[in-house]
Amino acid sequence: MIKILHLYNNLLNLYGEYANMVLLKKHLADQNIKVEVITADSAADVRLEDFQFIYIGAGTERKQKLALADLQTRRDDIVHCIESGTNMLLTGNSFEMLGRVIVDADGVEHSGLCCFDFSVTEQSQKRLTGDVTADCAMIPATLVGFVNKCSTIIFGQDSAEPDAKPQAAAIPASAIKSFCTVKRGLGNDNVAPDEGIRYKNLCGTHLTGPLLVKNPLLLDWLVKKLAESSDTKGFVFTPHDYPNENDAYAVTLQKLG
Amino acid sequence: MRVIFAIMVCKALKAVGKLLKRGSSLPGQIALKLYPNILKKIKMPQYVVAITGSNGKTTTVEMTAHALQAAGKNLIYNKEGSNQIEGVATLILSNCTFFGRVKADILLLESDERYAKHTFKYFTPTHYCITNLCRDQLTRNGHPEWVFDDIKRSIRPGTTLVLNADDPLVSLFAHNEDAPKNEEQPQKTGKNVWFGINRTNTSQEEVTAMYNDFYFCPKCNAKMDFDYVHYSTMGAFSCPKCGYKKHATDYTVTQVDEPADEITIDGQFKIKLAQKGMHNIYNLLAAFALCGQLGLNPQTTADALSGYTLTNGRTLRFALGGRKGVLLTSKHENSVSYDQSLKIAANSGEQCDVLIIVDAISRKYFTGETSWLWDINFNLLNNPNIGEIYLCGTYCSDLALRFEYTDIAQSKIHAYSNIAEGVGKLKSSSKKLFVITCFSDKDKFLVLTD
Ligand SMILES: [Zn+2]
Repeated sequence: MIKILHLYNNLLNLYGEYANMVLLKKHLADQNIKVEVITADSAADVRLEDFQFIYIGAGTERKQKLALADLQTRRDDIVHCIESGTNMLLTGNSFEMLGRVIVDADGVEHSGLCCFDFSVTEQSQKRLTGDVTADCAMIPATLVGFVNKCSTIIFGQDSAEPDAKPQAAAIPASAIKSFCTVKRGLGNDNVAPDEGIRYKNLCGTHLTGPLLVKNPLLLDWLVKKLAESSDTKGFVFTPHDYPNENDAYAVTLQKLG
Repeated sequence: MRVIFAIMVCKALKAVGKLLKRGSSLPGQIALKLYPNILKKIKMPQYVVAITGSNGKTTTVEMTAHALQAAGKNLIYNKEGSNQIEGVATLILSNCTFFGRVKADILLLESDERYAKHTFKYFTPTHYCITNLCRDQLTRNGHPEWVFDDIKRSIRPGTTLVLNADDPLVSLFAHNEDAPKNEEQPQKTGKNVWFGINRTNTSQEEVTAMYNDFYFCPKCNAKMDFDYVHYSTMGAFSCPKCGYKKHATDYTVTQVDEPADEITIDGQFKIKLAQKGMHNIYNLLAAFALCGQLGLNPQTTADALSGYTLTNGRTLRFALGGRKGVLLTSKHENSVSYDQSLKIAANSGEQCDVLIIVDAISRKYFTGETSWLWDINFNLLNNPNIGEIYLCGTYCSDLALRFEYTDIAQSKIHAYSNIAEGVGKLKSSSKKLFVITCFSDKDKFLVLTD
């Protein structure tokens, strides 16, 4: 039995991201693994440590700030989940909440959860959108996706305001891996190819939309990982044929390649 | 002198363009290069009317223009595709005297929702209609709130806003009429005019689309209520916490008679519908409201709009083998537009097959982004009168995958990446056919018809 939390499903749900949970549920069921997906509008409504997998999707800039304010009340639980190795996937701008600060387009600073040592700056002049292809350590194939953002993410202490009080709790940049390395499209700072974050079993990426639908191998990877971390005894992965998923991926890769 | 020169160049280029049969925004673009502030120097007509929003701009402009012309008004307006500042400049400069006076009583403009903020730096509309805002062209527009911010920057004090009261985001554009009037700036705000559709026989009790961008109140974030919904999140919204709700309307569709394809506005003006779909009723209502604001007699407007068939060809009839069919031009990357087309096919009351083509996602730029397919409620086709469903084009596997997660029997689904091959299979039947696709792909189907 795997318990999944889809947090802020009504608030952070840009462009078909619900489909990530729909396909994950189906693929886990195809492996004969019982799965329960709980949705919650507030982190205060659930016990985060009860879940084997937590998913948060992308939102608009305003809605992300609302989610951040809500999540602040569960900051210690989030840190505990990250450090104890809970599987987590945060897509789009939702992973930005885990940094030190988000400075919005009006210059207003929104304190982040300070789980990781990075800072986010938003602007309102140019929407940064585009197709992405990337190398991703978890899968032996090219990752495909789409970025839709207005922010720049900078890692390390230098990114913090000089007069900001020291926040020792944040995991240092040197301990954070990138989620993927873009070959086409934009990375975290819109210059270098490093995209997203990975730490223990947490993945954060600015790729939005149904990422797991578009990347069958990433979905397989997650299914195996969740199955192995569940109480299912002696799990053996059974390959299934999903022709439409595979064909759709092949077409997108060929178009973007 | 610079004004006259820039106008002359624009007119000359426009004339050359006409000879070459090429309507473009190039003349305006060059005039703006010669004199960037040229539009500030132009003497605008009494009425400058702008229309923007995600869907229905072109249709609303066409209907408004038709009614104004029918009432004998002297107007100029822009056609689809020239709605950014260059196109607007081309229209204005090629229709003004050499001394910079627009030769019309009404200037009617379709304005691009992202670029209106640039255009209206140079002149201010007297009337500004905002039709709706929805998830649309995400690869260009980001998301509706991003577009909202751009439109907000284009609104000037003093302009009369003509707003869709049923749209929770558009309603936020309203001038604050309660704001204290400043002596020095008496026009700090402006007038708001509202249009909307009352509850009808076909209203839904709640949002049934795949997503609800107004699950929470955009003002205070409390859970929003909907008394009734026409489609997407259009309807009678209300927030129990802060009181934000559908505004009382000045122009109202009071009745929709679906079998007769007729609507009643303000309890007395009856208009026959030539185009199906709730979205077209909104376009018509917006045009009716604008004409009312420009002083037209409402009966004159109603007579002009009654049974009026659009010339922009969004709905096309065709023959294919032994079949007759209707092509419903929809917009890729726009789930609201697709949902409306799917409803027309599902509610046609006839036994029919459906063909959906997604081959090139945009005609203007390249993208392989298909996430919007998951925002479309394809389950609308889970209806007894819908027979076989054909999915064609490059992205037919994405479509087929999306259909796996509907309640529709998989035996009805047929996917062909080659459009001609798929269409070839369709020829053998005589059942009615609905084709749903975008501007970017519709000609790929039409060349295969009889
Ligand atoms: Zn409210």
